Amino acid sequence: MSLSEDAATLAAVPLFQGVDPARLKLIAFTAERQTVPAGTVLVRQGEPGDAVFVVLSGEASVHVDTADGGALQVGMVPAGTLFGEVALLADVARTATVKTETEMVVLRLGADLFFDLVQEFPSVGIAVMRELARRLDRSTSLLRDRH
Amino acid sequence: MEPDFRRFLWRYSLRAQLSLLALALASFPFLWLYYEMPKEIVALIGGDMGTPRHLFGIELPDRILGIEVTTGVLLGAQCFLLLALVVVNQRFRFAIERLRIDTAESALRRIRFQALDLVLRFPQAAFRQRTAAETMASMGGEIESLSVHVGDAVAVPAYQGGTIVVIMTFLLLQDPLLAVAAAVLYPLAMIIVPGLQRRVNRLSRDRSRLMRGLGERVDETFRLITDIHANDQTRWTRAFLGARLGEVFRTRVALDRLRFTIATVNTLVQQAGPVAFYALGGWLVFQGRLDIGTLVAVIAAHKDMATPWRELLEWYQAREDARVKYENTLRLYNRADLRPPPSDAPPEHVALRGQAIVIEDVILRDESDSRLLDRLRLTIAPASSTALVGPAGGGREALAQALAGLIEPTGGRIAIAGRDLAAMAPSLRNRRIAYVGTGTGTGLQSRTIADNLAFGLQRAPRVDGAGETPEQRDARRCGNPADPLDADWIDYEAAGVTDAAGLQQRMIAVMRRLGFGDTLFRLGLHSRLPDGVAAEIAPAVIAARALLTRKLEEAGEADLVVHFDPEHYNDHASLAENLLFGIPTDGTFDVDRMTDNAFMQSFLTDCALIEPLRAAGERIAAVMIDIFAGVDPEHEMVRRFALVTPAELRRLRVLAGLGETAQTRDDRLMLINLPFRVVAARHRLDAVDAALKTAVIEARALLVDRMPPDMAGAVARFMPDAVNPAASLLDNILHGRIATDRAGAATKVRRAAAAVLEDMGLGEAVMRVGLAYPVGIAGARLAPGERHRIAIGRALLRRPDVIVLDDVLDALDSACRTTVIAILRELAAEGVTVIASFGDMDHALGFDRVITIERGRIVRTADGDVK
Repeated sequence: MSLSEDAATLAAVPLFQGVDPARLKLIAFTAERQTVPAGTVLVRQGEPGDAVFVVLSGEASVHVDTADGGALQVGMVPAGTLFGEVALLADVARTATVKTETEMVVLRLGADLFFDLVQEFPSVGIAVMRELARRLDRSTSLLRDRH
Repeated sequence: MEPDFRRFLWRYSLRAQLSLLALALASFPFLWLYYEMPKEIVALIGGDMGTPRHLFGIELPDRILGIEVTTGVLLGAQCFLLLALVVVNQRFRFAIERLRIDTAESALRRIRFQALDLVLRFPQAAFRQRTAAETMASMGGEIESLSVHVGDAVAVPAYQGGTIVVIMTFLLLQDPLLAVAAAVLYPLAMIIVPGLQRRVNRLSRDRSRLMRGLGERVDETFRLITDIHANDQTRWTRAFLGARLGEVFRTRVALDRLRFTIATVNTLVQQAGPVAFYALGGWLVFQGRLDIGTLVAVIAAHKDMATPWRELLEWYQAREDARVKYENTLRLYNRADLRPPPSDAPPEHVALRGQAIVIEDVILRDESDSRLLDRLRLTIAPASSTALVGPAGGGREALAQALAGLIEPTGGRIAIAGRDLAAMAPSLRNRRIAYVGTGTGTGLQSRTIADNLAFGLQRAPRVDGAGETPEQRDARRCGNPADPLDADWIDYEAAGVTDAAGLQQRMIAVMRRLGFGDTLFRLGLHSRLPDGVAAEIAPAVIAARALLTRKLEEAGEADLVVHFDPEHYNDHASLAENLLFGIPTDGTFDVDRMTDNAFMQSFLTDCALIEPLRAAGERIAAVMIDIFAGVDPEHEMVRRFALVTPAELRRLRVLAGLGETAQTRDDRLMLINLPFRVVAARHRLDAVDAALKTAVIEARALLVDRMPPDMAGAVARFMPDAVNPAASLLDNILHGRIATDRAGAATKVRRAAAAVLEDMGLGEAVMRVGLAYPVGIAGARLAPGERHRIAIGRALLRRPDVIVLDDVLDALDSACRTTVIAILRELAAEGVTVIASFGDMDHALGFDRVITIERGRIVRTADGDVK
């Protein structure tokens, strides 16, 4: 897989719409591209966070530990999603466990790189903010629907 | 040190000075002839010689060796002689200079060593008053100019003074009146100059004092930089430093002005001379009492007198300067309270094990005369553990240091085996009593872990009877120690082992016990194999390779490591590594500037690789320009992630605007160099395509045959059946690269490699490699807890009879503290007297006795386990 292909995949990700293609190439170049076999725990709840991931292909499930010691699946991470940024931005431990369901290809952005990118390129920062806002909106509507 | 400069000079350089004097005296006859010669040449040319012709007053026959002595022949002979005299005089100067330099440098080495030797004898308190910066300053410029003068002490007055005497005699013989006229100004200078010189001396003393003070303040600024910013004291600090510089400035200006005044007096004397010659000499020539040839020679001689005169004057200044500097140095180092000098006596072997320590009415005062210990009475039972607790500064630290003989009680005494500790030779006291501290003056050296552990065991060099080396002779001549540093200094017996291998084994055992085993293993895994160990464990490493491969295959994770294969391109290694099929060991093949190597450039041309590399370079350049567009080339991201340096990125941007025709030769070389850095799997640039990879593999095989023999050592090649000395132990076991594009590959592979090594029983061998890990300045490459473990390990390795831990337990992490306390109990059970001083009462559990010291007095004594 080449850099330009990765950048093209990134461009198709809704999160990065509106981000300059050169920036997407920079992200693709500076990030580590990793293949993750199915059934691998990429992120474990409670562990410190040192990176964010962008899913290029494949799918993972999200689990949250419950009070009784079990785990509850709370959602899926499809291709084109950014995840793992909460632990970095809020400086807390991982809030959920992410486990690959199929073989997955991810771009791994180390904490330093992630902050560099957000600080240096406003368009990347806005993309991250947009993603966070979208999730907040989703949570709020979920809450609203319950009541 | 000798009490004054003159004594130092004569005591240590008498022979050299006499040789210099002899050389100077021997040179004068030739100097005299050198001044005579021009006179005779001028006489010959001016037709004043008449017949018979003569040379240096000797009449010449008409024919010599069948050659008629004509005017032309004689002129030729005279000029040849003059040239020969020039050569002879310079030979003398050369011999004198050589001896002078040697004398000066020997004196410099001697006096520097004497000063440093005295520093080693300073009492503990002195290090609270003095800084290293201050010592360095006084070791530098000041002593250096002093030592130059040692070389000049006799040579300059003898040679230059003699030259003046020769010239004056010459002048006197030509015409006494002229000589008197030339000399009349000298006494005048001799009256004025010394007065000025005394003021110069005073000022230069001030200057060195001020410079030392400045050094100290700069040192302090470095140390307190956090406080300065935290308290917003930059403005005051700036003013403070500026004011110091002002003092230095005023002294320097006054000093330079005075020096110039002296130089002016000197110049005046020189330049007034010719005036006297023109007036007086001209008059004498008119009178017919002096021929013109003599006058020319006299003027030439007087001109030559300027240099020796100036040098004499400078010598006089330097001498006074040296005297002052010597006194300053002496004052700094030769303190009244020095420790006794080291003795050559063979160390006594007295067992202190099983002996009680008796502290009798010990009083200890600090520099400001306040009492740290106030009539302390205590008996510390042998083979027991004693805790000294109490508030910091209450006296327990002072007692701990006194028990190790580091500070001497002001009153009373501490005795062990009936002998006064303060009077005991360090070769007994500080070998049998171990002290571990955490304060200033303790820490690690910038050497390997093993060196640091063996620090207490370096006792005497094992010298073979091979006789004295030139280095040793030099050292002895300069009053430096002749102990060879590269000899084996370790006292194996003291560590309870017989040889180096046994010592390593014991070091590993001790460090394992202290919970340092995993760290040693990890450090070993990431270190290169030291020369000595490489041969020994090479077969095991090769075997480990196969085992690791099998293990990964069994786990279905064989693709986590991509092995080096001569037939295949390794996408996880750089193009440079792929071409060389190895790791550069020195600068011959600089991966960043591969084409700097002329052989490599022609080799790449022969393989038709230049054009593909350049094309790849162009592609890389285009991507770099594209993705870093709008980013400052100096930005951290460029430094960390770009394949190009900031300077290269800047140049590439310029080139992109100008087009290919603007490329210089250097630009083309830069582009050819770029692909060598590419790791295909990581950088994913498409720049290194399949065709280029194939070409690289073909070139790889050819390179082995074509490599010039003198460059063969510059690459450590990847061999399936040999270890690579340039790669870490881990890389050697992998014989390949971790596939970093597999999630978690690095951790899994490292864990698997460690397991393989343990299974093969190589754990200890890896730790031995870890022992050779350099700890960095003050151990900076290790964590604080690791440094403490080494400091404790060092003491345990010595198998002391008494062990004193001063404020160490408080500094340890709790896991290590528990281990250390357990070790201390074992030691006490074996008969060692254990004493630990700390602040936290909670650590006292497990000690036989707990003694609380406050305000220099024992306020409580309790049995430990009672709590």
